[in-house]
Amino acid sequence: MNKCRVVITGMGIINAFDDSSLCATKEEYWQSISSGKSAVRPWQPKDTEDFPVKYAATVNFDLFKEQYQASLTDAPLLERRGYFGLVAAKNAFKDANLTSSIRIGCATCSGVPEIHESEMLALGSTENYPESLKEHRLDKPSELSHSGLASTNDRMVSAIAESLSMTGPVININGACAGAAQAIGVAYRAIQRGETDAMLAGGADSVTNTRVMSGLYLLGATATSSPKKAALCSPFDQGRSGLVAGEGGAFLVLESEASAKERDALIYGEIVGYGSSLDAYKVTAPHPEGKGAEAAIVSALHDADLPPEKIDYINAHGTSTPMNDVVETQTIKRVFAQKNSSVYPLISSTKSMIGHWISAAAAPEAIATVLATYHGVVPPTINLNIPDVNCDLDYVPNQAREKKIHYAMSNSFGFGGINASIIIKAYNYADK
Amino acid sequence: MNKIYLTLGKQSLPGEVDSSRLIQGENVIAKDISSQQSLGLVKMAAFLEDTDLKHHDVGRVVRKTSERQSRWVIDTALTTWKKYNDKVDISTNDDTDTGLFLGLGTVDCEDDDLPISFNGTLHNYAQQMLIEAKPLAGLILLNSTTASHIAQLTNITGVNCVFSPFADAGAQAVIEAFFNIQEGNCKQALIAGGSPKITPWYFLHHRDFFQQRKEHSIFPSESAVALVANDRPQDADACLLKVKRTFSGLIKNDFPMMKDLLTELSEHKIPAPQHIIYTGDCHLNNSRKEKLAHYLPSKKVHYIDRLIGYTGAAGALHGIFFAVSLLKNSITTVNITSPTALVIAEGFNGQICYMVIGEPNE
Repeated sequence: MNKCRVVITGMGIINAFDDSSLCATKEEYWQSISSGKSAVRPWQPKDTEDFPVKYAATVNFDLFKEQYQASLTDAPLLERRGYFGLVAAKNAFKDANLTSSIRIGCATCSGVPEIHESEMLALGSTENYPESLKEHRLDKPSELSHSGLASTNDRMVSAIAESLSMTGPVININGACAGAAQAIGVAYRAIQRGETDAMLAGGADSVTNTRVMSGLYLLGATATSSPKKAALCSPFDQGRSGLVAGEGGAFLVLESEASAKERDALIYGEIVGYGSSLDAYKVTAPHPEGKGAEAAIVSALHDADLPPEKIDYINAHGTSTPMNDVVETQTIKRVFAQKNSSVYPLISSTKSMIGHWISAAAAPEAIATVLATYHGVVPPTINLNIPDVNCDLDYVPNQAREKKIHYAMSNSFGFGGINASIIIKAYNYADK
Repeated sequence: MNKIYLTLGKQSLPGEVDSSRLIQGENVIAKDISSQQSLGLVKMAAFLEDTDLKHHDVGRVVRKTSERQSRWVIDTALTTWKKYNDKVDISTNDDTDTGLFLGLGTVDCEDDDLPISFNGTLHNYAQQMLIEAKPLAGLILLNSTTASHIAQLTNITGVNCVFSPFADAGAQAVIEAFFNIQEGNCKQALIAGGSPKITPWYFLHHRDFFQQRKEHSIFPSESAVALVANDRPQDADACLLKVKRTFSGLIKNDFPMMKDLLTELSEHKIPAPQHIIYTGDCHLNNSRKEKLAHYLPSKKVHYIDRLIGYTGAAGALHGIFFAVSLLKNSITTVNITSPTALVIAEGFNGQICYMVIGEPNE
C-alpha cells in the first residue's frame, strides 16, 4: 500500500501562564516554554478549605469567556474543557489557513466527565438525587439542565466537527493520559491510508474540579505541599512528589503532504512514526521494567523505519511522579543504548512548566515537540535541581538548549498502562 | 481487496436473547422503569444482570476498579478470547501481535453513585470525597481502565484504542481493527462493545436522543458483545469486506459516502448489500429513506435497535452478529451466490460508519 506522507500545517493552543492573561497562540506558547516559564500557581476548589491539593496550572475561565465570547456564541453547551478544545481547534484551523474544500476530520480524546462544583450543589443530597436531578435539570431548564449532555464523551469533537463543516472521520478516544497521543496517531494513519486529506488532532482537558482532583489525590498521584514547600512539578528531580494538574486545549492540523503542497501551506514538521501498546500489568502502576512503554517506543521507531540513534530529542511523559520518571528513564536507556551507551537523545518534560493535562497531555507536548524541531531548540525541564540518582540522563535542566533536531519523539504513558509514542521529523522542503 | 475475518464471540443481551433468536422473530423484552429513574424520558428499559467476574478468576483490584458496564465488557471479552484461543492456536504469536479495540459508553459514576452525589455544602462534598470515596474511584471513571483490565487478563499488549460514547464508537473499534490488521500493525484483534449502565445520569447524557425518538417508543438496553478479527479465513464466521466512516453533522447527509462505498464494491465485483442493518437510529425521515431506496433499491432494512433496544456503543457489534446470522441462514431477498450485508452505525451527533459483511468464503 502506498502511504501518504503526513505533515503538520497548523497548531492552536489555549492555556495560561498567569491569572491575568491567556496563552492563545503557538508563538506565545513557544516563547513561554522555551524560556522555562511555569504555569503552576496556587489553586483550591471553590468554597472549599483545606483541600489537600493546593497547586495547579489553571486558566482564568472568566477571562477566557470574555476574550472568546464572539467565537463561542453559536457553540453548543460544553464542559469547560470543551470550550478550550473548540477554541484551540479553531485556532489551529486558522493557523493552517484551511478551508472546508478538502476532506477534513477530527480525532480527539476525553477523560473523566467534568462535573463542576456548582452542578454538584444543584444535584442535592445523596438520598434524593434522582428526584433532584429531575427538578434541577429537566423541569427547570437552565444551564444545569444541559450539563449531562455537555459531559458526554464526544461532545467536544462533535462541536468542533460541526463548527468547521467537517466530512472526514470524527473520532473520540479514551486513552487515559495517552488519549491525545492516540488521537494524533489514529489521525496520522487515517491520512496516511488516504481516508481523508486532513485531520485536526489533539485534545483538551480540565481536572480543576473537586471530583477529579479528589480522585487523583486518592490515587496518590498528586504532588504534595507543605507550608515550607510548594508542590512543584519537578520531573526527574529527587524531591519530586507527584503530578501537578494543568488545563487547556491544543490541536494540530495533520495533512497529506500532497494537499499541503497544493495549498502552498507552511509545513512545520512531519509525522513519521506512531506506536501504541498496553502494559497488560496493573491498573494501578506502570510495568516496573517499562515493558509497555518500550513496546510503544519500539513500535513507533519500527513504523518510522528508524534506528534509535536517529532520535535527537525526546519529549518525555515526565509526570514528576516517583515511579514514572524512573521507569521512563530506564526504558529510554534500554532502547537507545543499543549502539553507543554514552550517547542518548536529549530529554525534557513540558509538564514541568504547564502541568499535566491528563487525557489531553500529549497535545501541548506534541506541539512543543514540533516547535522544538522547527526552531532547533530543546525546551527545558524546569524545577530540576538535584536529579534522582536513578534519573541519570540529560533532561535539559532549567534552561533551553539549541540543537539541530532531525527526529524527535513524544512519549505518553497513561494510567492503566496505555502507552503511545509519536515521532516527528523536521520537514525538509527539498526532501523527496 | 484485503478483507479481514471475524470470529464471533459472546453476545450479552437482556433475557439471553442472541442474534440467532432475533432473526427468528424474537426480541429483547423491556421492563417498566419509573419516571423518577428515567427522568420521564422513557417508560421501558432492558437491564442486564450484573456479574462479579468471579468465574473468570479475576483479582480484587479488577473488581474494585470496575463498574457495571466495565464488568459486562470484561466478561464478554474474556469469554470470547478464551473461546477463540480454544479454536485457534495463537501460541506462536508475539503478545504485541494482538490489538485491543473497544467501544464504550460514557462512564458517569460508580455503582453506588459516588462520587456524584453528596450532602450539604461544597466543603462537605470535598470532605466526603476524600473520606468516603474509594481510593481507586478515579480509575473507575476512566473508560480506558476496562482496556487495562482486559489487557492484563488476556496478556494483549499490542496496538489499542477505546472509542466512545455512541453507536458509532463500536464501529470505530471494528474499523480501526480492520485497518490495523490490513496494515500489518497487528495480526488479530479482540474487539468489544458495551452499553453504559442505565441510571439517571445515563438519561441526562441521552436526554435529547430519547426526546427526539419519543414517538418511536425506543427503549434503552444494557448489553455487551465481543468478537475477534484476524487475517485468516479458518474458523471464521464472516468476513469484513469494506469499511467507511464520515461525519455528516446534524443534517445527516451521508449519501455521498454511501455512493463511494457502493462504487468501490462494484469495482471489486462485489454485489450491493442485500440487507441494511441500522443501529444508532430507529427511524429515517422520508428524505433519507428516499435516498437510501435510490442507492440500494429493494433492499431489506433492519432497524436493530427496535429489536434489542438502544445499546449505544455495543450496537454496531450487535449489528454485525445480526448480519452474520442473516447470511448464515441464507435469508436473502434475491438469489445470489455471495450475499453481503451493510451495517450502518450512527453516532448521535452525525458520525456515521459503514461496514460491509460477507460470508467467510466470499
